[in-house]
Amino acid sequence: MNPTSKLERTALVVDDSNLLCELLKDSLIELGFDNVLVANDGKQAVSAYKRNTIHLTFLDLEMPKQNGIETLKEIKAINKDAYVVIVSGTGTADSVKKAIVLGAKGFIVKPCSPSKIAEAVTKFNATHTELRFNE
Amino acid sequence: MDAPTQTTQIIDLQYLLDKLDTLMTPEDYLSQSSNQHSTSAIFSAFSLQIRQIIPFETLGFLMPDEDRLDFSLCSCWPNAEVFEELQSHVDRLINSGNFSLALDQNRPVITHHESEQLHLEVLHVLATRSKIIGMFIGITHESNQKLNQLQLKLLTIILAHCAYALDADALTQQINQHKNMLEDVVEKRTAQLIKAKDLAESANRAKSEFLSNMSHELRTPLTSIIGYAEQIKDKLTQQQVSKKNLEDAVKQSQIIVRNGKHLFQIINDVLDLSKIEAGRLEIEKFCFNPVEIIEEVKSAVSVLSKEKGLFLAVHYNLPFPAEIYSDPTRLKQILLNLCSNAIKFTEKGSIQIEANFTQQSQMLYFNIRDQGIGIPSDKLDLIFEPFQQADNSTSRRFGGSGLGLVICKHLSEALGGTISVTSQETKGSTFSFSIPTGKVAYEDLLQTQSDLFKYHLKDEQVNIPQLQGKVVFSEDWLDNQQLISLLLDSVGVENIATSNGEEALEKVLELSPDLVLMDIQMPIMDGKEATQLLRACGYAGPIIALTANVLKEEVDNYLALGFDGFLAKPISRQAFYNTLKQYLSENDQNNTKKQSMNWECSSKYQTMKTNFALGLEQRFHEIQQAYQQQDSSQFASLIHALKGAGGSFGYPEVTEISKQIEQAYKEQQYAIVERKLSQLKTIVQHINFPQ
Repeated sequence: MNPTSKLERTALVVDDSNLLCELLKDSLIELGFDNVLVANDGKQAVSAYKRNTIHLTFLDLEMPKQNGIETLKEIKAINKDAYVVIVSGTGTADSVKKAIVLGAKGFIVKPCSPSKIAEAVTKFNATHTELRFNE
Repeated sequence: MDAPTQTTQIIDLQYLLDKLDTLMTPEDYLSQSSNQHSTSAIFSAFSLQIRQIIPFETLGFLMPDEDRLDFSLCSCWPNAEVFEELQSHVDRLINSGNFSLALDQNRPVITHHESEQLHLEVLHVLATRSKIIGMFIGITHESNQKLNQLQLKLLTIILAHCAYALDADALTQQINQHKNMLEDVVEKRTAQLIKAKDLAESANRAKSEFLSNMSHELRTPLTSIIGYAEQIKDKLTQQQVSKKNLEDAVKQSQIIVRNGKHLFQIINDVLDLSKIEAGRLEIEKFCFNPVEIIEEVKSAVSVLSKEKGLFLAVHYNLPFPAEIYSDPTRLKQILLNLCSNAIKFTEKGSIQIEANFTQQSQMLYFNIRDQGIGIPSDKLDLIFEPFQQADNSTSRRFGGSGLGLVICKHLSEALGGTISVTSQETKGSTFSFSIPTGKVAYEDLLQTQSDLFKYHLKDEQVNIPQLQGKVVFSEDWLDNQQLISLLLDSVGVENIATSNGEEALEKVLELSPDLVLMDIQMPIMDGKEATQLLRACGYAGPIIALTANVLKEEVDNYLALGFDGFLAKPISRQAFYNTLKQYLSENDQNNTKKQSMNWECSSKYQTMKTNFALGLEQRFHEIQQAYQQQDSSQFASLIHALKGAGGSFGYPEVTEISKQIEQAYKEQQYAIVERKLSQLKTIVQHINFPQ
C-alpha cells in the first residue's frame, strides 16, 4: 500500500464482522476513497491508526476485547481531530451522548444502508474540501 | 441701740413671710398654658404677684420683635389706655441708656423722673439662665413708695419665675405646633393610603370579575367539546353504526372543531393581552401587499357571515397602495378582531369594510361598519379599557373574551395609528382605525378595480397531497400523536411515532427517514437536545419543530439549533400539508429521491447484494453447526454479524429474525432459538428461491 499523499483519502473501517467491513470498504471506495484499511477489533484499529494517516474512521461500538468507546478514546488521544463515525446496533441516547462528548463526528445505527454511509461521507467531504475526489 | 434695729428686723421678717406666702399662691396661668393666649395669662398672673410686693400705678411687659432688634409693649396694667404713657417712659429710658443697662444685669434699674410729680421708673430684665425673654417696666410715685432691698429682691425672684414660665410656654407652643403638623401629615398620608387601597381594591375586583368571567368563557366551549366528543364516541362504539349515527357524528364533530377554535382564540387573546400588559408586544415591520391581507381576512370571516346570513362587502377607495411598510400579522389581527366583532353583534343586515388611503398623510384608514346592537354612549369610552366591558353580560350573550378591542387599541397604537368608535344604540357601530403606510410611491398605487382583482384570492380549499417517503415524528401527548399519525396516513407516507426525544433520536438514527417532525417540549429529552444530537450524529435530513411557541426569537433559536423550520401548534392542516410537500416528493414521481439512492441502484451494490444472498445458505449452515456443537461464542458472533449485515444489504427480515435469535439465546430460551432458526432457514431459502 502506498504511503498516503496529501491528495489521497484513506479510511479505516473497524468491525468484528468481516461481512460489514467488506460492505463498508466497498461502499467507501465507491464513494471515492483511495485506500480503505480494515481492522477487526479495537486493538488492531489503534495500531492501524498509529501507523497510517487516516482521514475517516468507521468504528463499530459493540466489539469483543475492546469496545468502540474505549477505542474512540485511544484514537482521540493519538489525534484529537480524528474524524470518527460510530457504527452501532442501537442508537440509545446514552451511547450517542457518550460518543458525541468524546468527539465522534457521526453516529450510524445498523443496518448501515448505503444511503447512511453516503450521508456520513457527504458530511465528511463538506469539512475536508482539501482532499480531492479521485473520480 | 439694739432695740429699734431688732424691731425693724422683726417687721422685715414678718413682711418677708407674708410676701413669700403670696409668691406661693397657686398660679392660675399654669392651668391655661396650652391656651393660645397663655402669654397674656402669664403676664396678668405675674403682674398681680408683683403688685402685691410693690403697688405700681402702671406696669407693662415688653417682648422682643421677631428680628430681636426692638422691644415692644405687649401687656399693660391696669388697662390699654396707659399704653401711650408707658411707651413714652420706655422711649426715654432707651434714649438715656438705662434700658440697655437693664438688659445687661439681672437686677432692677431704678430711675427718678420729674414731670408733674416725681416718679420712680423700675426696669427689670426677664431672663432665663440662657437667654433674654423680655423686659418689665413699672412706674410709681416716690412719695407713696419706699422701695427697700427686700422688695427689689422679691421682684427679681418673681420676674425670673416669669421668664421661665414664658420660656416653658414658648416651648410648649412649639411642641404643640409640631404635634399639629405631624397630625396633619399623618392625616394626609392616611388619606393617600385609603385612596390607594380603594384603587387597588377596585382593580382587584375588576380582575376577579374578569377571571370568573374568563373561566366561564373557557369552560363553556370545553363543556361542549367534551360533551359532543363523548356522544360521538358512544355512537361509534355501538355494535352497529347506522347512517344516521354517522351523520350526527359529522355534525357534532363540526361543533367540536368550532368550539375548539373558539377556545383557542380566547386563550390567544389572553396571552396577547398579558404580553401587551407586560410591555412585550412584538412588532415586525416589512413591505407587503395590504390587499392580500384584507382579502384573507374577508375570506376568513365570510364563513362566519354566511352562517348568519349577513352580507359582507369590502370597498376600496382608489387609488390604493399595492405595497405598504407595516406589520401584516398585526394588521390582520386588528381587522379579524373588528370584523368578527361586527358579525358577532349583528343579527341581520350587512357588514361593510371600507379601506381608504391618503397620499398626504401616508396613512391607511379603515372603517368597519355593522348594523348590530350598538353601544350606549356612556359606555363608549369603556370598551377600549381592559377588564371594563360595556356590560359583563355582553360576553355571556355573544361569547368572546371581551379583550379583542383592548388588543386592537394597543396594536393600532403600536403600529403608529389610532382607533375610535362611533355608535348608535340599536342602529349599529362603526369602528375606525388608521395605520401609517411608510412612503408609498405614486407608481405603487393601484388605480383601477381590475388592478385590485389581481390580488383577490380564491376561497381556499384544503387539498390533500399524495406523497411518498418515511417520516419519524415525536409528540409526547398521545391524542396529538394519533392526530399527526392520521394526517400523515392521509398523504400516504410511512410514519413512525415516538413519545420523547430519546426515542426520536434512536428511531431517526436507525431509519434515516426523509423528514423528522420534532415536538419541542417533551419529557426525558426535549426536541431541541434531540435535534442537536441528531445533527452531531450526521443526520442531514430535514427536521421541523412542532411548537406552540412561535415568537420570532424562539424561531431564530430553533434554526440555530439545526431545525429547518417549524409548524405552529395547534396544527393547521393546510400549513401541515404545505410543509410536507416542501420536503417530500410527490407519489407519481419515483426518480426524485435522494442522490445517495444512486449508489443503492448501482450495479456494484447489486452485485454485493447478490453475493450476500448467495452466501446466506453457507452462513446459515455455519450458524446451525455452531449451535449443534454448542460453540456459544462462535454462535453468538455469527448471529450478531448476520443481524448487522442483513438490513444493510436490503434484507431487513434477516436482521429482525437474527435479533430475536440473539435475544432468545442470551436468555437461554433454546426452544425459541430453535423455532426461530427454522424460520431463518425458510427466509434464507425464500431469498434465493423466491416462491
